[in-house]
Amino acid sequence: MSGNVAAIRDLSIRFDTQQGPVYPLRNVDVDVPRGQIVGIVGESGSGKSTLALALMRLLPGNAVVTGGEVELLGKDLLKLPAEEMRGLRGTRLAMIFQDPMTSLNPVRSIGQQMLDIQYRSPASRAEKIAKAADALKRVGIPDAREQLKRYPAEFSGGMRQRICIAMSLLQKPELLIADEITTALDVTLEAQVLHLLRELRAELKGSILFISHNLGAVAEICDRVVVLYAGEVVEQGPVFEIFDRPQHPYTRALVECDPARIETTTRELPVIPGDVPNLRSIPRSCIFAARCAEVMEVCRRDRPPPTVIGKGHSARCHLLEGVES
Amino acid sequence: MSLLSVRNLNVRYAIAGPVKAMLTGLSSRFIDAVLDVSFDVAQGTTLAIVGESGSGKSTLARAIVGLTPIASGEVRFAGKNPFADGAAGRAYHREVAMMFQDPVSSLSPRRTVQSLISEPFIVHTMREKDLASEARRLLALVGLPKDFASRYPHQLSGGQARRVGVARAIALNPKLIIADEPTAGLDVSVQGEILNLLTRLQGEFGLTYVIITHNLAVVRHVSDETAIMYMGRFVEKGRTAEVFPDPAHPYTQGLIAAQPHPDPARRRTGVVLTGEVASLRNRPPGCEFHPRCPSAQDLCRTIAPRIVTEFSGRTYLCHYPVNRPAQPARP
Repeated sequence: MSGNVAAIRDLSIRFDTQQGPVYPLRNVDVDVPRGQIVGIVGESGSGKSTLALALMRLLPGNAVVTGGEVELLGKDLLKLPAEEMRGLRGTRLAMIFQDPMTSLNPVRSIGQQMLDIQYRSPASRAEKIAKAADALKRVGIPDAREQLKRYPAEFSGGMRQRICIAMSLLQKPELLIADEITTALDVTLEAQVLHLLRELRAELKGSILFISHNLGAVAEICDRVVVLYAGEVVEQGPVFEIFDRPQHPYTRALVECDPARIETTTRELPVIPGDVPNLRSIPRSCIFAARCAEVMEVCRRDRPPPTVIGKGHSARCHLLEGVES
Repeated sequence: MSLLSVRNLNVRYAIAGPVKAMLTGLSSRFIDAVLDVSFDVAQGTTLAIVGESGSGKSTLARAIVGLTPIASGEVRFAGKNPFADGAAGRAYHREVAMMFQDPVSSLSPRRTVQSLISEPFIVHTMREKDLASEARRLLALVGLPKDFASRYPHQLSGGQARRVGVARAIALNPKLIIADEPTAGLDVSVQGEILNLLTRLQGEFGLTYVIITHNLAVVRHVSDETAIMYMGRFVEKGRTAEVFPDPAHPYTQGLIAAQPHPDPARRRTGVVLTGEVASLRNRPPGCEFHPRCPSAQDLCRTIAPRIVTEFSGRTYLCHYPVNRPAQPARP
């Protein structure tokens, strides 16, 4: 598995809550190949963020990994001592969070925060400041040296998200996890941030796990796409396959629902009828059976295994059985 | 005939008291959140107001319903000034409803859905109504089951909370609904449900909508007219079906191009609109969009453009519009 920065196999997670157990992720398989941008798409509650937090080993205390393996940067993530895990975070592994307003400390200047996160480096203070200024310059912030003295509140949302990106890139991480980083931004800033990620990826030489519910953003920068629905990977494959030849009925419905995809103007927008299933009691059927337009007898009885459709493209759907290549 | 008519509306916020302004030497202690906005909305149609954060679109919505004082200009509803006297104002608040941005935080967490959606009747002293049956009627209209009446906001999903917001808005049979970001924060599959619901109610009751949003993909499908706002001004306005294929203002063109396409074959290579909205405290001279404009020329840096009205009714504020002859500046 040397070609993968991260390889997740059959991962299942349970949250123990006062109202009983919840199963946010079940039998998840995801590979993040070196140098690629892998998109994770799904609606709210599909388990996107739980997956990101599992990779960072930042899951809340009530989370239990009930099965599976995760190989991250050549190490067995689930068995890694806490000490060694801390060594990975911020150096070889970095994460950018959704809300640039709350992920920076409001009472410390940007420069102080960018020095703080270099605490492991043996470099001198002046060198660290130079490195921080350089990182800000790379994400397109002018007057970088001057800006280091300023506080988060003095920057706009788009600038703050750039600062977060600059901080995550200080150590050239091999895996960067970006959790809904453009959701809080306007379209014009989103376009700028996506363009920035695309530019940085060449010099980064690492991989990016790009989590988003925005299909447009995913289509724009990802190489591979993983579609999550209610805690299960229903389909994954190369980006062109997913958008041009989606195989799972959920992926198809999701792509068709996007108003940006509909060329002719319509007042009657397509929807996916029904609700996301309750993750407290998982049915033995296909997880999408209750909302699927093409549901069959077998779908309500058995959970479909992943079917390989093409190179690196697979989907969990009974309709695809027998077309196995 | 237009139901809502807004003329030269200005809304300003004080950013410092008079003493502070004098001591710090501020040139003006106000910022203009909405500047010289004029438009009409015809009965039964939908106007979409689009802009980036800080463009003044929410302030404009609040000013129209009377939640933010107007500095100058005029709002007329069905030909009358609703803020002229108390009686007209009360009638106005029955006929104009607002749907607020965040569906969950705009609902009181301590009240049931029934109490939330029957509140408008109590506010407008219509206690003689049977509130429970009114609540059931409204829930049915927005497509929620009756037993939702006894639920609390935290038991609702984002889409359901949004439906409760719609129910509250239509409770008093208003003529005009102002919806501030009706689909923000919703998943695409649910977004369609809410927009279809609004469209259905429009057909059933002849409602008029003003929709405030930053989502252009949605605007294209649901609105008759679109206005683009930048730094408090309408920089372009016209029929949606004409503005999208043929924008006149470079900002409109940039906004449309910034929209990511859910199709990997249509990836963009560059960025059309760079930079961010300038500070409202010191507006750029000339055309306020010139620091970000790809086609800005010397004229744009010194002289502010005037409103150009085309034969089709399209208006825009630009010296060098897209695919159109340059507009010479008149002294």
